[in-house]
Amino acid sequence: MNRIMDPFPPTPERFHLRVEEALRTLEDKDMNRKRVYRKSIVLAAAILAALLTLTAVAAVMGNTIFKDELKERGAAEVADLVQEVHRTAEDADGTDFSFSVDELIWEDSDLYVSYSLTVPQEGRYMVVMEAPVLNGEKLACDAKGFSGTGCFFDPDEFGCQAVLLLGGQHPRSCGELWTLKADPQYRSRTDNGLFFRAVLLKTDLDMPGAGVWDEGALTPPDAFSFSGNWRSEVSEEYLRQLGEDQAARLDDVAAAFGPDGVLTLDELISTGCAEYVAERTIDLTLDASALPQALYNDVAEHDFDVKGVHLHVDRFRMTHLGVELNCTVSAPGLDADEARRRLNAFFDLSTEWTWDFGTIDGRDPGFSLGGDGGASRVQLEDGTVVYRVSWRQSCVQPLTELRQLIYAPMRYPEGAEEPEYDMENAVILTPVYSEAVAAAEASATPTPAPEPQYDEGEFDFSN
Amino acid sequence: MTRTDFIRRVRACERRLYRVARTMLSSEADCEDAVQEALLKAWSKLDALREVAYFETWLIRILINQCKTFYRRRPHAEAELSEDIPYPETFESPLLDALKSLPHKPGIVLELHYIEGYSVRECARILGIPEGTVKWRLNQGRRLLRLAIGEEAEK
Repeated sequence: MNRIMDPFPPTPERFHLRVEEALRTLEDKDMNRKRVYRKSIVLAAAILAALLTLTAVAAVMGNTIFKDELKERGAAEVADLVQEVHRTAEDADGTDFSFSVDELIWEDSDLYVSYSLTVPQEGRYMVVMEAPVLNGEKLACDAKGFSGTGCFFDPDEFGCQAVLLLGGQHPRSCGELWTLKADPQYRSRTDNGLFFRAVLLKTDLDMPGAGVWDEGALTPPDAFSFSGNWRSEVSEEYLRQLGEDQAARLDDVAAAFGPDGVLTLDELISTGCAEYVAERTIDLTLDASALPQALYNDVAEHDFDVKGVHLHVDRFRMTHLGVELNCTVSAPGLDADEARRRLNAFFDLSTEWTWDFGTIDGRDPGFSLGGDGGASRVQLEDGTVVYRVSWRQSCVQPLTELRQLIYAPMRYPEGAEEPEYDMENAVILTPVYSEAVAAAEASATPTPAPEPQYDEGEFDFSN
Repeated sequence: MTRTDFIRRVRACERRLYRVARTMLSSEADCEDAVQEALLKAWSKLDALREVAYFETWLIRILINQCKTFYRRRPHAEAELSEDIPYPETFESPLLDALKSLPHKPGIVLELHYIEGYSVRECARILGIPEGTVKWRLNQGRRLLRLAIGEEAEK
């Protein structure tokens, strides 16, 4: 990220004084909190007892975090499709380090896996989770649900998938949910080899963490950006607050997480940050054809005329866990200049709108787990210029509410809090499961969906 | 978090609060009011902050919501001005002028990402929108900013 130099004027004195005025008026809330605390003691004790019971059960049964998440979001029908595996690695060395793979579901190109970890009773630990391997290929991963504290890495760049902090001031157990990007061609195989490796390291480094996974808590709070860049300026104050020995060792960590690289498993050990204790591996033979999936692979209608151009749906996928749309936008029958004008008008962002999915009555369907989208200009062999649009969004969504959905411009009226769907120009998509599409895909060599383009060089807004 | 901790953390990010408010509101007086109300709201809702490490992003989110409220409530009105403390002298910055000329949705994303240094994921967390939407608005904002800078240069 290229930071822009601060273009703002110096903070006005009166702004500073208003902040100080507000801070002076704050009432001390400690007394109130003490009262709440006392009231909560009995409840907390009851919850603690329940949690201890649940933890004991979880140690035996493993987690069901994915099922629980789906049910919580109202997608009970797909929750019932999740396959419970609960394969636990053998504790051959008696270190009381438990690792189990618990749940699986394969939808389109996404293989969802949840797993559980429990470290020994005493001590602070890091658990290095290596990227899972499917049929000899290291899988790209995404993380959707977290109960632990740690860092999540790009396995290609960092050599490991994640480092979790467990024990000491952190919980002793956690359950995590990963999405593995699996080659769809493995979907028909009955003998997929899926391999996991978890390495237990003991450490006495004080790593308070942020309490939640995706804040990058292996390092001092806020010192680790999501993209994996060490923020030395943030960590300096933290390091000053530590003892010299501790700070020196954290400097080693900082150096290793710097621009030149990050800590590999070996580096964690060789820099003295951690000591190898044990490892666990799980090798599953996966009959992918037996894994359930819920998938719409087509739409009932492919061609739409909207905003003076023609939109053709090339590919559509929707599961309970994501929606993907690839389409081509063209202006057939027009001369080159007029076609260019129409297409540029279609993608004119200067009026501040974007395209997004919605429910049939114009509501946000709540695809809340993130997504990617973009458009790129392509010149076909006959010289025709078209735009290829690609959207992919992750979600946990009850499909019953999306028997139809819209793909529509969203406008942001002046002063409005929320964007509004432009229903007049909405494309109504009716998801279907098409045997013909499925058969064609089964016989064809899989080709990856076009990558969304964000580089503004790919866009052409000139008229 | 104690009152002392709260005050210390607010002071540490005062400059950032000013920039965020200034990106969304045109009036210095509105910026002051929005920040003051955001601070009082944050203090009253402190129990809702589950992780202290998120304090700054949490506070900025409250401030952004407060700015939206101001924007809706009186989009063109000037707040009452106090005569006690003078406003700062006019500050000339073509980049700032261009940034403030943008619609506030892409404008605030540009500010958070390129000036405050928040990652796409952090922006998404602060604004409560998907990462894809943040990327989209960044792309949109860059385009609009470039146009706006060109217009400023022509003036």
